[in-house]
Amino acid sequence: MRTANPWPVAALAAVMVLAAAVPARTAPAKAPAKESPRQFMAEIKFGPWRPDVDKEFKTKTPWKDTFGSGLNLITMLEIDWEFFHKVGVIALGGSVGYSQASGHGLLEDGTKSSDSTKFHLMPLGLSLIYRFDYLAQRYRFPFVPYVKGGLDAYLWWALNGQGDVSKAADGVSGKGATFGGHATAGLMFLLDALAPMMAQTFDTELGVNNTYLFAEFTWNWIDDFGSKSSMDLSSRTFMAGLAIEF
Amino acid sequence: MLGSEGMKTDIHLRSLVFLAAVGIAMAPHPGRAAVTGFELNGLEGVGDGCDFPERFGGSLGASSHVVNIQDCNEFLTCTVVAEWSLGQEPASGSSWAVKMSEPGGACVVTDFTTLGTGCQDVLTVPQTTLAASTNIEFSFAYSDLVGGPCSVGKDRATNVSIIVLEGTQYTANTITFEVDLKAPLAPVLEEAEEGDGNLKISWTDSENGNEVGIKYRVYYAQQKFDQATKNDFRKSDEITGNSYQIKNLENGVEYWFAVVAIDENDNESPLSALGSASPVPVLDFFEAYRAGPEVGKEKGGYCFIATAAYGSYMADEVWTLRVFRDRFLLTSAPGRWFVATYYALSPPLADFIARHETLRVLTRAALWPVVTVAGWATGLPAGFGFAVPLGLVLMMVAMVLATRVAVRAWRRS
Repeated sequence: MRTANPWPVAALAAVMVLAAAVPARTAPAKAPAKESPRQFMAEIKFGPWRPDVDKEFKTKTPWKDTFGSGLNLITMLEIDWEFFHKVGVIALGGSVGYSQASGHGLLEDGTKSSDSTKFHLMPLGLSLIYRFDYLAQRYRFPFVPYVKGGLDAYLWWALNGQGDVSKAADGVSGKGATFGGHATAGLMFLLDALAPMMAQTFDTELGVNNTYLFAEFTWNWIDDFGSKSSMDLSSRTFMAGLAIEF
Repeated sequence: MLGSEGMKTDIHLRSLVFLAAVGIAMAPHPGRAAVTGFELNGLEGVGDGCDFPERFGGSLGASSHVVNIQDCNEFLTCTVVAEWSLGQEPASGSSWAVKMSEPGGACVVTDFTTLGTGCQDVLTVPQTTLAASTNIEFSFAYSDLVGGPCSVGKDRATNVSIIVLEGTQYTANTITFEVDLKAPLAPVLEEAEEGDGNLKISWTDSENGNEVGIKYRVYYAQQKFDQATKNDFRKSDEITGNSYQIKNLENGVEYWFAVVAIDENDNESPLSALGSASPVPVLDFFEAYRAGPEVGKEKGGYCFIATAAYGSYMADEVWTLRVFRDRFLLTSAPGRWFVATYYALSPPLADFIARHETLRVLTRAALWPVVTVAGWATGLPAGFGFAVPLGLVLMMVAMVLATRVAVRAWRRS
């Protein structure tokens, strides 16, 4: 049911091409100008999202039937507090996001109606993060690999054709909060390497130490830790975005 | 209905609307001075059922004066009493008069005798001594403003000019009434979309494309209706778009509907053609998820621990806590933070509690004071919400004191 996703490969290729365009500044640099303290990282990222709701069933596919097999855009904001700077950075991050799937309800004969139905999702997350930016900081090597792991709470609500929160025939309300965890691996590309002087100015005037483009892959397990009374909102998501460290 | 009779007419009428917006217009002759300190104090209807609506601009400081088709039909036999005042005492020997134009016309305001084309043949108020500066009244027939049948189908302005003569100097102020007796044209109804308990009605409206501020209204009923009976049935509020979803309908029942256009002066067009459709049962996503022999396992809802303890989201105690949450917690930032934190932390715990009967009993016991307080709080009359935090603080103080007493007693023993 799941289709191969070409985005990660394409994005990584793009990052590699950008990296190739970087002048040979990856050799040990001159003594850098004094940098402002680094404490936080702010990220905005986008990606496709589709939950594993239908995996729960053997005989039906409610998600696919109403929303189709396409992917939905998810947007996330994340703020990380960097509390350890030695060989890399260890940070604690909080994230919030939003996604929405829109489709049409099903008539009694199983065909699609003109009635709309929607599924809104607001993922909240806490992450522990490690970024290996030692080479970037010391040698201006423009790539920073990182990993994240943490806990999530996905707030969700499903709407019927009248725009009200859906209510199943047995009275169960179509809204809830589902909990779980995530693991992420990603690669950041240090944009400062493309324009060092501009990056220096950015730091001097605004306190922004580094600017990154990044791409990451996340495994989400969102099913209330295997609860037997929760929807499975797990997914595997590729995301890409922009990050600033300040 | 402005702007439908060519550019020249359009510019003229727009000017009139602007002048009406100011409330008091200068006389149509450039350079004619306004009456010093002139103020229209009010316009009042005299006669049975002659309470003019707000759009007539009857109150002090009203910025426009409108007569639409509905008002025309309703107030045609009424008399309008206008009251105005000056900013200063008039000079001895001053006099005044009132002229009223035909709809779309104007009067000469440079003297009391010359009427001019487009002016009514008889002065509304003949030359009269001006002895006071306040509470000066005159009256005229509402039908004079309209100048003909309400079905004339035109949008024009009627000017009522108050002319004052002090010494040899004529001054004048004109009150402009927009007499909009031109209804918009009916929109064209499109096929309705049938939903679950709802119908989505759409229409096109190319005929009223030049109109400013056009809105729409949908009429609907379980039987056919027409122009004469439409108000006996349900209708929507005014709509700015070209579609409307009628909600809370019964599946399988045939509903009839039509739409009207409404102009900026609240004139309604005739009904569009009647359409009919029946809402149909539809499974939205969550219904589909929970329907059929293989029911989705999600239980929904948020009151996790209480639901686990009391066994049902619909239990009275859970309901009490939900009401307390909505009425007290979600109305303040700390309360919302508490609820968000609870939602974030409680589901796994609730899952665990639900699986152990002993824990469910203990949880119900632990929740008893909470439910009691919540029940007490939700029973408070409106305006006594302040008692809730006060009560909670007192309860916490009592608990601390009781704990302290208990600990001391235990140590002594």
